[in-house]
Amino acid sequence: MVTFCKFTLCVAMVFKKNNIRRKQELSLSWLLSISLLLFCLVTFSPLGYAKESTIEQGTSQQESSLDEDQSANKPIIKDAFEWQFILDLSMVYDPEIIAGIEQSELLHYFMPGILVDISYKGFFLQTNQRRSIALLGGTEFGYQLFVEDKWQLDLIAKAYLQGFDSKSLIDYGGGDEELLAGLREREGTGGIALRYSHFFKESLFSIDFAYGSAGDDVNGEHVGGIIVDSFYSYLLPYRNWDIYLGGGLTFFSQDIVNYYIGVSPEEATDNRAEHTAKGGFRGQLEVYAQYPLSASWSFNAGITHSIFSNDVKESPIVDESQITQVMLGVLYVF
Amino acid sequence: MYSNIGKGFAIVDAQVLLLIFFSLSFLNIVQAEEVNTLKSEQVDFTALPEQCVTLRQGRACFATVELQWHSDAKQSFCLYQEGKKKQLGCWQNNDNVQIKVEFESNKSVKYQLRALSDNKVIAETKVEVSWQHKSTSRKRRWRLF
Repeated sequence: MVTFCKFTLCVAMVFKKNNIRRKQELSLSWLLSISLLLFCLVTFSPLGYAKESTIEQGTSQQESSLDEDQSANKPIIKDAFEWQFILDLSMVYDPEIIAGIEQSELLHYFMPGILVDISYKGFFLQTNQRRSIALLGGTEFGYQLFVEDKWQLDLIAKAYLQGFDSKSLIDYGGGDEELLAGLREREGTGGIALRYSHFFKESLFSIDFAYGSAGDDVNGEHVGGIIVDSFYSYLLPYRNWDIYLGGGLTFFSQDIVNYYIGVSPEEATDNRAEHTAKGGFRGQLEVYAQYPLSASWSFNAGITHSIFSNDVKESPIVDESQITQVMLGVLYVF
Repeated sequence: MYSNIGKGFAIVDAQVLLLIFFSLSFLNIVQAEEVNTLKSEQVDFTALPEQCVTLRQGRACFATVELQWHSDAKQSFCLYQEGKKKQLGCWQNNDNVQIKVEFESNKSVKYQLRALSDNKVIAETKVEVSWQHKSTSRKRRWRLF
């Protein structure tokens, strides 16, 4: 629901605090564990390669070619090793719904990132979501379970929400000290999801059914919940421009929302009343455009307007239920 | 012995003939190439930009391409896009021509200058199409925030 940790904020914190780095390391090791788990599951299960086995073990050549024909649109089988790295050098106006957080210095707007696209035998590591947060923050690891002409089902692991801690928000994000001081640290939420994608001629609809795992609450109990994230993206090519018109609706369960914007009795102060947040939605409208400048460089710009459930404003640490983010920059394709 | 010598001469003759034949053939090729080179040298034919970059492999690339030809002597040419019958323009007794064409293709395109008299290709130039993102079997979604 909220992406609190801006890259510049994180960079600044690396020098004074290691919280975010620790979180990133944690989420990376978490991602690695999930990846290994997925790898083992898929390697030792016949699910993904059932047809490949049939091809290999087929007795007659005719049967083999029939299977090959039927699996012609199955990248699971024929996916060769492919990779691409993109350096994202962008300026991002990235307001937050948390009270008083604003970008006050030029450096705060500079949010570089690395977009990764690696695939092999149905596994993929990709950064489709161009949110320019911490370097690899938007990267997803996944495996293509089923691939058909019109639809696809993937198992993915990704970070859905960034964490924050009040000291950094105050020191580097310009947050209201009276309102934010003393809040426990909120860790990022990583999730494992089933993603269904449906392909149309020039558009794509995808929906993630995810279980998001956040950190521990004040009682030391682990917090996790359901996230359902849907997005529709329509590609409108105009000469060499690629213009993507998008709209999304995301549901966050009560546990997740409360973990981030709830105020526990232990955190309540005179200026910050105790608050239990409800589950909620985020709607998004987005326009994103890309234009090639040369064989390696492209210009890209985008604007996203997000509307959160009105309930979020009931939290004493939230002062906005709508935000508009703007991104402008260049990409270098390796 | 005579006959042997004769055979020897015959063999030598055959070898010489072959040598002469290949030499002449080679000379012919060289001569032909020289003619082409000569004619190409007489006509300086360029396209600008030489490269059109698109975002994705397979996607059509758009550009306004300036084609220019210059020759030392006045000549009559027609401009063609390779593989297309309709000419993009014809000029008579000209030595310097510039023309802008709207380029739209997902692959490299050759432009040819052909003599007005016999339709013979006199000079060629090419606009290459390249892309930043290779077409992959995986379909991707792009999302900003």
